[in-house]
Amino acid sequence: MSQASRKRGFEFYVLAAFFSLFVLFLYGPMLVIFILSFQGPTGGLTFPMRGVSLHWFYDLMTSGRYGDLGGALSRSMILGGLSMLITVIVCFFAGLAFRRRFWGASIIFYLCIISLVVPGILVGLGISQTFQILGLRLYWWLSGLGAHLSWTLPFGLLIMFAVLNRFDSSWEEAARDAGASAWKTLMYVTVPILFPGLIAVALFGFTLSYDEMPRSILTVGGSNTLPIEISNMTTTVTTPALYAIGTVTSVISLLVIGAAFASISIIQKRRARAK
Amino acid sequence: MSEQSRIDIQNVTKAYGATRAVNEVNLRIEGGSYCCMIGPSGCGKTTLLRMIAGHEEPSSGKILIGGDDVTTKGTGSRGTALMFQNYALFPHLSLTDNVAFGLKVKGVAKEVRREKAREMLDRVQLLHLADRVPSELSGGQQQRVALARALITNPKVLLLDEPLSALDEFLRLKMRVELKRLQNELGITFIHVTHTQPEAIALADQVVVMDHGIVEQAASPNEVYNRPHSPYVARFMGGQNVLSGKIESLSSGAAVVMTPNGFRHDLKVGLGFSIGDLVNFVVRRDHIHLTDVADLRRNCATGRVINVEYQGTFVKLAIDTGSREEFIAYINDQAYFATPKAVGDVVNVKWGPALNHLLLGTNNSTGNPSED
Repeated sequence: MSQASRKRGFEFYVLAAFFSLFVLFLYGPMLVIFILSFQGPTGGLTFPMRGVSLHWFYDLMTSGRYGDLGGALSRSMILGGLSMLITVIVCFFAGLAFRRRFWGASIIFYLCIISLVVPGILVGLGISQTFQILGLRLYWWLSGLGAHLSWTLPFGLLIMFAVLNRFDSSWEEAARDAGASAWKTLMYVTVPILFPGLIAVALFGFTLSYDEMPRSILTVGGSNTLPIEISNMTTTVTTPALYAIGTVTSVISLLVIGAAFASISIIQKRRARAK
Repeated sequence: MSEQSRIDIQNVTKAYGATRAVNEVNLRIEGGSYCCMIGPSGCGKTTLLRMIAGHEEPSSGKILIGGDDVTTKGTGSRGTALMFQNYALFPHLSLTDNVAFGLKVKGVAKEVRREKAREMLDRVQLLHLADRVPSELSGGQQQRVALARALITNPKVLLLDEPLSALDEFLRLKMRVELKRLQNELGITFIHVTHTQPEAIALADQVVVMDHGIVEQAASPNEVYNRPHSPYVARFMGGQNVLSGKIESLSSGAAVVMTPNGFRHDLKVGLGFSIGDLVNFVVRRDHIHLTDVADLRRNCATGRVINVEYQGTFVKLAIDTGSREEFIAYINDQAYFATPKAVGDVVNVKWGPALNHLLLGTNNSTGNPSED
């Protein structure tokens, strides 16, 4: 008997209702913020909509009331980019290294996991204290970057493990057998085969850093990153500009994720039908 | 050609901690020959192959290819090419670029190497798929690509790690023929690792039977099959009954051996044996006849039939003669069906005295006897 011909039972409707609730809970608030950000110039923080306009986006960009929002955005983008770059490079080689059981491998692995488990705010506190003890100043591109890496590196490493799980090391052996040096094996075989996985690592490296708040608060020093800036705005700004900034940052995140998935699928397609 | 592609393995040992995967192996593989290394899994045949390819370095000993010591030379620069068991084709490259890979790393220009790769693909009858990627091919096609990729650099020695094990029975027989034809055409040395006895017999000029890191016997297939060195080789190659007994009488190298279950056999033992010595010997299963009780004096056995299998051209009878191993007789099907036997019947078998072959080696392990 095929599944389709069976009559759907009571359980189906219960589970379907539960799933609908979940989806509503997940995307409902986001959708509300998205809609409200197009509020008319006289509109407020809640429904009803008083017309539809781009007023609050314009306001966001031109008005001085919102502090250094542009600066915060560019800092977050740069920080996300740096975290991404370092995460991809370090996690790639760390993943390759972990394929061998080198001395101390499991200790290093557990240290990485601990850094995922410890509350971010504590990591941030620790970093700022350490900087003070050493007499160093806190900068977003220094202490802030370090704090973000304590989050993105272990995460990236775990993804790299999953990626390498499907990597057959006899590909590398075949390359060496054909006369390829270690460098050529890496460039012609290892990196190209792992490339879609590396994009996934990069994606996590960027997004985890881009919206990281707990680790940032105490480590960025004088100039804020975007999540901190937005958090501050929620207490001071009482216009739909707040929603406009939500929409803008969400769109940036979605663009980055979309670009990553698009490049993965282009690579996969090219592989499925080379040339 | 043959001098250049001769392989000398001198005292080679590969140790992993306390265990020796390959243990002081000495072996010469003639240039331009087809060599099959055979043995149960874990016998060291793949490790030996990988050492010849340069993917593993011997713990001690030397490997020479064409007289050059290549023991520590990197893989890819010693004139060998390895075809991997799972083929290890690059999933991100088209067939053309897979095959051209060996030329690419040598810095051959794109158009030249692609042209060469297409020629090689044509040779394995896959030119029409040149722009596909490996995941779009069947197992047999993937294997031919792997073969083309290995041959593109004109190796002196082609190493094949269980090349046919991933194929179904029909393709395996077909590819077996192709491998042999290819080897004849190219005239280079093929070293083929397998655990299938008929494959080794059918392909090889030289069969190397291994067990526990040691070469038990290295000889022509005919020699290995008919004149096995030890009970292990006899059992592993199949087709033989392994018997053992004590020398009862002896005159100028001709002995009479008494088996524990009470049968006497004629056996040529040569010099160096004395009465009372325990000896192992074999008798081929297909040279055994059913007989009446009357002339049962030597080179015979009696026992109860425990299994009957019809094999088309012959009937395989398993007989319990009171020893630990069952005695197998391949009886001509016409002779058998003249007087068929049932399980439980008591039968007598005999054979000519010249068929008893003495086993000099003492390795008595069962290996994993692969039946034919």
